[in-house]
Amino acid sequence: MKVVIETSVLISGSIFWRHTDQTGTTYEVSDKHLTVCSALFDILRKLRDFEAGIITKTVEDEAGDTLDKAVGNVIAQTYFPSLEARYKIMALQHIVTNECLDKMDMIVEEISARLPLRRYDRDWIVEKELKPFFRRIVATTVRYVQPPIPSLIKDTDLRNELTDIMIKTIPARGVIYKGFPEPRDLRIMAEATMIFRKYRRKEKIYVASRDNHFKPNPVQVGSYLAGRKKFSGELDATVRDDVAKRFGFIGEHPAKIIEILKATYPRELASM
Amino acid sequence: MIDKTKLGSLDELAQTAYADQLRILNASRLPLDDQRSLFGAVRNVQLTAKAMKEKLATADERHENPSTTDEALEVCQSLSNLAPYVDEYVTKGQVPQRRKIDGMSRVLYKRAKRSGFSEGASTQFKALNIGSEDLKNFTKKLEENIHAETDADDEDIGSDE
Repeated sequence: MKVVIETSVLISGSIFWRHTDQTGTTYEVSDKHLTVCSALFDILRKLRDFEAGIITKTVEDEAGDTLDKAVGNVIAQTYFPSLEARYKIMALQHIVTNECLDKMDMIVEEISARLPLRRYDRDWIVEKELKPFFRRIVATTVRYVQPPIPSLIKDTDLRNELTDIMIKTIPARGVIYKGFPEPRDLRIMAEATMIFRKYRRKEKIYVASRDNHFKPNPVQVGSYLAGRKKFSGELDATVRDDVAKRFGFIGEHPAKIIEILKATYPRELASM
Repeated sequence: MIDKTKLGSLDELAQTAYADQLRILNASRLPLDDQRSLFGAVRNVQLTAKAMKEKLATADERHENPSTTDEALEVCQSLSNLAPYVDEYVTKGQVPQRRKIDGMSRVLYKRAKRSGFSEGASTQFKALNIGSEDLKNFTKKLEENIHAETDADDEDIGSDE
């Protein structure tokens, strides 16, 4: 079993900075998925002899770029009354960025087995296999379930109530999928496909991701006119399973991957 | 034997690098990304030069002369690799290869840190003396932006919330 780490998981596990000042006040930058992503990295670190974790160059670069962009946006959104104030915040972002990049480097060094992946082959898979596949997929999927309530019913509460009633009675809701994947997601999918093929289908390849382009999609119900859509608590794994059948990799949330790893390597993880 | 009279040039380098940081921040026509890259690179130069001088000055007291100088020479190589890119901005006002600057700057940072020619984050942070309101704003905005950039699909089953 191999676990390919996707960008969102690497970022969540890397971003952490904490400072406590003289008054005892603590300032912290972290992602709310830090705990689960760090737990996954801890397990993969323990399984390094099995080369269970894979972080590709694309994912590493994407994660660095994402952090850079987020920090850049903070600076762009901040008003600096003086050069001194600007200097302080620029120096602060420099410290925080370096700390996070250090953590990211450590995760990559300690966890990842890295396979040679030819760029030409990756781009070929993106263009000739993944894009046509997802074009077909998104033509037949919906982002959320929307029962056909006439637009003349304007009241939001009534629309919500009708949605709840109709959803219980409609026989088929359609397949839920987030929409056409972004180019960076397609590149990571292509790399996961290449890794699956490299192991000649002998290894199960999981992609640990928080992104609904990879993992089973939560079912959202509501009508466009009623505003916010509710989560039903179900997961729709139809597209994820189709992708697994066609390309070999299985997208899953890091929390689920931890469970799978614990079940796959019970002795190894217990003894360490 | 380290000739301590020669270490003054590292002080000069650190001071020039500090002045360059302010000049970079004052350059309003510079795009923000370029400004951040150059600022980071020059700040790394300043911190490395400062820490290197301090470590070299006390190396013989710690009986670490040869190893410290060897490490310093290695770090100097990274400094020299970065210098032409910073010079290009200082002399011509151009930032032609931002990615290269970022890469070289990161190499310098890592090498300096490994060799002990860098200030710890907490020391740097204390020296900055940032107000609590500014800190709060920064951390809050950074978390929001990271959340937005990772395109998080949070309200799903399996979330660790």
